[in-house]
Amino acid sequence: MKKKIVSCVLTFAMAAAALSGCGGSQSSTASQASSGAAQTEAAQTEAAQAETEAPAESEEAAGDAETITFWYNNTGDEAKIYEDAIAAYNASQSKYKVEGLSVTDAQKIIVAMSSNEAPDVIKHGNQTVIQYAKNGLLESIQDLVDQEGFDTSIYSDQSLEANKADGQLCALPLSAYTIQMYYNKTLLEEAGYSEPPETMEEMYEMAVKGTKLDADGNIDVLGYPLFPYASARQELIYGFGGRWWDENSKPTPENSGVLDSLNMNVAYRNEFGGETLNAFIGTANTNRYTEQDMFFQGKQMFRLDGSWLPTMMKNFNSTVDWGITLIPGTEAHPEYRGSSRYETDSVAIPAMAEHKEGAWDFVKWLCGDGAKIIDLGTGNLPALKALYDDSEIMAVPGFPEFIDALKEEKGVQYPQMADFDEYMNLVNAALDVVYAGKQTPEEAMADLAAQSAGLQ
Amino acid sequence: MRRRKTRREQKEFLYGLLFAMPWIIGFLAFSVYPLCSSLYYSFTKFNAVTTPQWVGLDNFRDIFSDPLIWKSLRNTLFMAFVSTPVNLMVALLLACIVVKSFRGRGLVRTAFFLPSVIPMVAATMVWIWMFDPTYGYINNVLGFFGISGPSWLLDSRYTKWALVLMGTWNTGTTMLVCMAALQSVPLSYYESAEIDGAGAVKRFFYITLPCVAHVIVYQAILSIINAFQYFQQVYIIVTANAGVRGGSAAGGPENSILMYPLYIFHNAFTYLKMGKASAMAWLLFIVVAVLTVIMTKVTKKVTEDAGGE
Repeated sequence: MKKKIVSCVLTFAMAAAALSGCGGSQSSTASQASSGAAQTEAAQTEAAQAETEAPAESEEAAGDAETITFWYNNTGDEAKIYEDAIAAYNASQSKYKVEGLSVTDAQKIIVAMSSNEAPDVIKHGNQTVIQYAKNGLLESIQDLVDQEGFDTSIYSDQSLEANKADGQLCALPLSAYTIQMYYNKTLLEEAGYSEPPETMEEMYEMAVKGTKLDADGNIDVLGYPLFPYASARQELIYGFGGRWWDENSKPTPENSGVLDSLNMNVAYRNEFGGETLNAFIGTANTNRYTEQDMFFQGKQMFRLDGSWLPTMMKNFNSTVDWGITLIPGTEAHPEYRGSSRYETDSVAIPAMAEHKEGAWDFVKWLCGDGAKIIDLGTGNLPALKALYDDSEIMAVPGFPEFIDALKEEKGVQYPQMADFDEYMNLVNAALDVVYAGKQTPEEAMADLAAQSAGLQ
Repeated sequence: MRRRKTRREQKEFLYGLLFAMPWIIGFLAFSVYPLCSSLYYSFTKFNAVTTPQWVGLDNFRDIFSDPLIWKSLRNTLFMAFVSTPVNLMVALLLACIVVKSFRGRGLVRTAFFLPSVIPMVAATMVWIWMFDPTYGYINNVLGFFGISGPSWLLDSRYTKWALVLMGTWNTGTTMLVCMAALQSVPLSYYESAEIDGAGAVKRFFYITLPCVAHVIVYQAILSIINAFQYFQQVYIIVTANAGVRGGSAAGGPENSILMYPLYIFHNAFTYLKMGKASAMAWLLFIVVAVLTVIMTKVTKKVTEDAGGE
């Protein structure tokens, strides 16, 4: 009998130990939070400091406050900015207490949603948000806006457009980003020019003159902005009036703007050699946004990049004398000048969120009062029109030029495609084939059109 | 006639079952249930969150008409059948070195084994720097011999070879197994061969290799099966290259290092096509199962030929 009791006790103990991993959501979430907290420890320390500055009664009330979980896809210093904003929200009211967590892994978000452990609020790029919305994973923000009569006109039209899926608002825009052209004034002058280019043809001429080779024939200064690849795939195409998709979100890789742009890229590659360019781009990629970044080191004449670049250069003590100008148009179509992608950081509520009322309250605050904290901290542009003229915002290096570009409203919106990432993978692979000289732009784009025909 | 179990035997059986129960529950919950679920999902359109919709064999049709599936399979087979022999040769060579008695042998063994305990994520990040076309260590060494190194991770002709090179660095565990096998070869064989005038090369090919062949074949099977789970390294390389939205194809330049598991991952968590990803996983399961059966038979034959059981 004794043996039986001992064996039963042991078995239950082992079973309990084995099944402890399947524990409830509370403990699991807590452990996830603690693991993720490693990345955001500094940010949470700051947030704790901010909380101590809040009124004492607010802290007492926070004990009964409903907890809202918020996952954002930022790390390091940017995570700290989000924690600052969260601390400010928690201090501003006592009904809800937001707990932030840095989650960069898209897989984790999907797994959490599928296992009913979804956060109440997520922050991601608008492309991801649209993809989630198209797959039915998000609460309709449009319904909440309509029910409450929330005034969305405080946001720029293009930022609202960027957060619509099938015409319905699926997230609120937190901040915006667009790409324009930086140029190295010294290199431009050395090439014999005093003003940046306004057309692609001018830029090509300057780029060829400005490209410098070292004694071994390696590229020392890259004239043409083929790096970063993402800009070569987008802004260089948009400057020619090219689009990867039409207004119905159908793939259009064979349009003339795309082909004209790719042919110019290929001409530059042929001029200086594909392998030489690959070597430069490979190194540029490894060192991107570090102290050794090619533009920060004065080794790129033109760079298509975002509004955060001047702040980074300042932080890395770069001595490059730079300027910002609009993305060039073409001689035939100068009106294309300034065309660039338009993206937003977006805040949404998962369809399976547990505390939707509190989530909506926080979303409104973050994309309203909290937006300035985020924009100033992360170097992203505002989506709120009121911040276009804010003195602190305008004091950030590069922001006045970028906000002027935003006011042009030439932002290219991403398509409403559920298969967007799949299409971009095919586009990137097709560009690789073109750049490797295995196919002409026309051949590669014809193949791409066939491959992407079934995408939705 | 079958003997009925005694009361004591029945009791012992129940105790055994009771003690095995935690494992059985774990096996059912974490192996059998996910396996059955993925089989069901492979016949559905499913984005991991909303209710799956039954689509019959559509996912399997999609798989067979998707050119990237075949590309990813070819890339994976390359790693299985090119990287595996290269790694085994390197491991055997290193084992042959460290099995000898010389001063500082412990240090050399440790140095060869050390890469195996370094986390793959950290190691891959270091390799990305080493493959840098301008400042990377590999091209600097090649430059020393007057060779202009390629853009390893940007040129589709070299990307897979870069992975092969990375693999050779991480052969410490295989080296240890080979070393143990080498130590088990009776010294008398070598002494007899030496008396008969056999040189070092002949001794290696006629004594060492046959005696450790069963171990090498076993390691080859493991490596080939592991190659079908090749994921971490390519995921990190592609992510470090800014990812799809940063202008890089999901499987590196021209998808040249799009491995099958990586493509499953992209379908499941990037494209939210969990049904297709499940169907792909089942296809992988069948391929690996068939390979395992073949390899097990080969091992058995090699082991028997070597006089083992």
